Amino acid sequence: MTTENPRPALQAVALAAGYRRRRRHPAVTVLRDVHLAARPGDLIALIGPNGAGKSTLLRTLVGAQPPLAGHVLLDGRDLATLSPRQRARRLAVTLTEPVDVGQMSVEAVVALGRIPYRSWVGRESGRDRAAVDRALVDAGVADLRDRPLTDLSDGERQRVMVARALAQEPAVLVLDEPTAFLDVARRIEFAAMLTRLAATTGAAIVLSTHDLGFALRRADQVWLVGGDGTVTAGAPEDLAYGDAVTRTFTGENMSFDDAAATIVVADDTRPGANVRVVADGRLRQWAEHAVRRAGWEPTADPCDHVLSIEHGAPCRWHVNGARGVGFESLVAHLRGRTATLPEDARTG
Amino acid sequence: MSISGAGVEDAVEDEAVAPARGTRVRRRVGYVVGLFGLLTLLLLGAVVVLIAQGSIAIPIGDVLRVLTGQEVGSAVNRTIVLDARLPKVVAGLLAGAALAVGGAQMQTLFRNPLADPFVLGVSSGAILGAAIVILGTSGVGWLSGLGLVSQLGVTGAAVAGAAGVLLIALGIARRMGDPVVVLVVGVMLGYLAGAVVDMLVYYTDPDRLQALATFTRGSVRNVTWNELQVIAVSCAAVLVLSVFLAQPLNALLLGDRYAGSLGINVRRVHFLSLASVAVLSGITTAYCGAIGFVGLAAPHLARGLLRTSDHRLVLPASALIGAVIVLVAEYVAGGNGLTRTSLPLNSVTAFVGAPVILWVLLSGRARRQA
Repeated sequence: MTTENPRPALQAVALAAGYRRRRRHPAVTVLRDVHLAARPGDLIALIGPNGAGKSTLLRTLVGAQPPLAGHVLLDGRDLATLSPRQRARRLAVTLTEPVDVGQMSVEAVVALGRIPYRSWVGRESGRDRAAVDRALVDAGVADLRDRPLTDLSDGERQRVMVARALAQEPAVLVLDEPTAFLDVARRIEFAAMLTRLAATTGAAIVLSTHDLGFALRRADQVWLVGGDGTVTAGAPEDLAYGDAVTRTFTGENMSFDDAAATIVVADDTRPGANVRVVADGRLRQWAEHAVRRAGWEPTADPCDHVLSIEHGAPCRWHVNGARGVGFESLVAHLRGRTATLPEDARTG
Repeated sequence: MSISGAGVEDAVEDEAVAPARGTRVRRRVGYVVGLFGLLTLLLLGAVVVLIAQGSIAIPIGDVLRVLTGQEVGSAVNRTIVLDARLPKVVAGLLAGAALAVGGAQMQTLFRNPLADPFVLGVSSGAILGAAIVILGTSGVGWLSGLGLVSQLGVTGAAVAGAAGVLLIALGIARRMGDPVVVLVVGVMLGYLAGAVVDMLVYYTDPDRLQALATFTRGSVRNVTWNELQVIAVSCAAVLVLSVFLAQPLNALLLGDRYAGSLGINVRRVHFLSLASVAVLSGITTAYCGAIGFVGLAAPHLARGLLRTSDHRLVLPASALIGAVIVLVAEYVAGGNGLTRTSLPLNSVTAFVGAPVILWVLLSGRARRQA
C-alpha cells in the first residue's frame, strides 16, 4: 500500500521558519522557501551545523511553533488545521530532554502513547493494548515491560521512548538527536532498529543528528540545513558527490574525505610522499589507515617507497629496508621519529 | 461500539503472544481491587467508630441503624449522630480527600514530590484571603457567626488567597527547578501570609487571637450542616473534575513538551489543575482550618501501596487515604471521648507527614525529580 500511495507522509511547501523574540516584534526568519517531502517508510537524517536552524525546522515540522510562511502537510493535511489530538494520532516525537515519570513500568510509559486514542477518562480498549504490545516488540523492549523506567540504562530508555512514540501509530516519527547520549555499539544498534522500523511500520522517520557518517550510510534521504537559510534535500550520495556537504561543513583547513565519508582536517605538515602498500584484505585497509595517519599517501602503483606487511597479531612490517612490529612503530617510523628498531624486531 | 470488533481480534492475538501475561495482569488487578476494598472498609470503619465514640458513647448498632435510615430507640442518640457528629465526620472525610487529591495534583504539576497545600503555604494564603474579608467587612467574628451569603464571600476569598499563593509558588517552581528551594520558598510564603493575618487580627481585636488559633491549627469540630453543604457541593464537583484530569496529569509526568505532543492542551490542564487545588484547599481551610501534611503524605502512601504513579489509581487512592488519615487524626485528637480537651489536628497529622517528608528527602527522590 505504501508503494502504491506516493503521497508524502510529511511535506513542507514553501515553508519559512523562524521565531519571534517577543510578541509583536518582527519575526526573525531562519529558513526560507523550504520544500521537503518524506515518503512513508523513508528514513531521513536532518543534519547541519550548530545554529543553522535544525531545531527551528524540527519544531516547525512538528507544529511546536507556527510556520512564518508556507505549509507543513501531514498525510496531505495542513498541520495548522489539525487539532492537537488529531495531530498526535499521525505524528509522534522523541525529545532530548530526560524523562522522570516516578514509579512507572516500561509498559505504563509506552501506554501513555495511546492517550490520543483514549476517552477523556482514559479507559483502555483491546486495540490500545494490542498497539502497546506491538510497539514494545518493534522497539525491542518487550522483555523490559514490567521493569520500572528508572532502572533502565540510557540506551534502553531511549528505546522505550521510541516504543511510546510507536504506540501512537504515527505516520511520521520525529526523533531529536536520539543517539546523542549513546555509546558506539548502542548507537549502531539503534540505527539498525530505525532502519528496520521504517521498513516494517511504514512510518516516515525523521531524525536530527550530528553524526554525518550515520546520515550518509543509513538515511534514504538527507535534509541538509545549510548555514545560509536554505535546506537541501537529496540522497546521501547526491549531497556528498555534489558540493552541498562540503560547502556546509568544511571550514578552513578542512575537506570532505570521500573514501571515509567524513570531514577531515587538511594537514599542512604532510610530507605527501606516496608509498606502495603490499598487503591484502583487512590488513591492507588498516595499513592504509596507518599510512594516512602518519601523513603519507597510500597507493597501489609502483613508487619509490614500498611497505609490505605480514599477517600476525601484532603484524610485521618492512619499509625501505627498515622493519618492525605493530602499527604504532610503523606510524612512528613513517613520521620519521624513530631510527632504531624495536627490541623484538631485531631478535625475530 | 467500534471497539468491540477490534477487541476480539486482540484477545486472540494476546493469547498467542504471551500466555503467562494473563495471570500476571489478573494478579495485579486483584491486588489493586483488594487494596481499594481494604481502604474503603477502613474508611467506613473510621466513620462508624468516630460517630460512636465521644463524650457520650453510642452503641455501634444504633449508629449503623441511624446511618441506614432505620428507627432507633433513643431519639437523643439519633440527634447526637445526625446533628452533632455526622457533620464533623463528613467534613473531615471531605477535607482529607480534598487535601490529598490537591496534594497529588500539586506534586505532578510542580514536578516536586514535596508539594502540598500546607507545606507550600497555600493554606496560609487561604487564611489570609478569608481573614481580610472577615476582618475588613463585618468584624463580627469567624465563620460560625455568618449567614450563608457572607459565608460564600469568605469562602471565595479563601479560594482566591489559595490561588494567589499557588500562582506565585508555581512561577518560582518553574524558574528554579530545585524542589528543595521551592519547598523553602513555599514555607516562607506561608509565614508571610501568616504574619499578615496575625497583624490584621492584632490590630482589629486582640480577643480574636483565640479564634485565629483554631483556624491555623485545623479542626473539623465546629462544622455545621449549613457549612457542610458548601464544602460537599464544591469538593464533590472538583473531585469529579479530577477524574478527567487523571490522564492529562499522567502525560504531564513525561514533561510539558511530551504532553503537548500527545495532544494534551498543557496550558488548559495547568489552569484546571491549579483551579482545582485552589478550590479544594481554599474551601477546606475556610471551614476546617489549615490541616497539615495530609496532602503531602497521602499521595506518597498511595503511590507506595499501588507501586505506580498512574493518576487514574493514585488520585482515588489518595482521596481514600487522606480521608482515613484525617478521621484517625480526629479520633486521636480527642474524638475518642477519653479526654475533655482536644488537640489541634496538625499535632496529629504531623506524625504522619513529617516522617514522609524526611523519607522523601533522604531517599533522594526530591533531587532526582528536579
